[in-house]
Amino acid sequence: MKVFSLVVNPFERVAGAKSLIIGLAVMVAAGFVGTFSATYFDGVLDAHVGASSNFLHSFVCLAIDWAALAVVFGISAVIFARNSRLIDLFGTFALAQTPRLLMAFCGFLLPQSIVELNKAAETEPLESVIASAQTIMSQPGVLAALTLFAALSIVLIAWLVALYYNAFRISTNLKQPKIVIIFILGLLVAEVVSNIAIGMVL
Amino acid sequence: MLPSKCPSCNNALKVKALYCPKCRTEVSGLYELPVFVQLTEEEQQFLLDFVKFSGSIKEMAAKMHKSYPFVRNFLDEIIEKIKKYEQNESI
Repeated sequence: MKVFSLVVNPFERVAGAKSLIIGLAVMVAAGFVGTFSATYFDGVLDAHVGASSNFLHSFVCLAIDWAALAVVFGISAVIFARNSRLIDLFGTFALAQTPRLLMAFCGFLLPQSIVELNKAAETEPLESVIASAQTIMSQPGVLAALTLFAALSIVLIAWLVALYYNAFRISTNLKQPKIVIIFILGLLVAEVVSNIAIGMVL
Repeated sequence: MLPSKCPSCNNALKVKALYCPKCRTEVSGLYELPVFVQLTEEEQQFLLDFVKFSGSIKEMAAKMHKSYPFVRNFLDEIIEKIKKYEQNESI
């Protein structure tokens, strides 16, 4: 139970500059792994596998996601919470990116044929992509790999959202129901902001 | 530790009598418990340590092996509790 609590809410023990340094290291690692597993994170809740990617692209996406979260929730904290420090928000939201390192590793679970199909989907006509998809899905083990990937992705996204929520809660000490409303709205705004910013930068 | 809540109905206790062990004088009446005593043992210890560390949240965080915002939130909750007790006393 103690371990679970630490995994879902490490911010009781680590926050501020310390979590910022660890979080930035995690983001660099996730960007690095993502380069090899063709995984990138183009939104605060998004993860895509199979796109043509390089380290700079992967890392810039993660950095923009983190900045969007920290800025949106930082503004919320200034408006709604007293006594909160911006370094805690920036630090805890950086450390909250940890599940993305595991998501980047999950990209290796997908067979190369699926990764290639995702890449082809960006350029080739839909009919040809569907035909290729049917052929690939009939191959042994592909469905099992996809199912495992989907199941792990759901768990990791749930963990990611739990970390975002606890990062905001510990940094601001806002109480329910106010915090739930601000968190949901903030997450939606951060998602839109990160998508626009990534579209503009990359 | 001095009890602050009634073990039967959980209501706030009051002091009915005080006793001098030297001359055996007993003072009877109905006195409010000080706000500090109404806090939990953990909160009392926290406040004592906090004063000893000259009110440094950073040093308290290091002593408790907790993060800075966690300690600040804990302190905020004690402040809210004290304000509530003081409000109840003034009613």
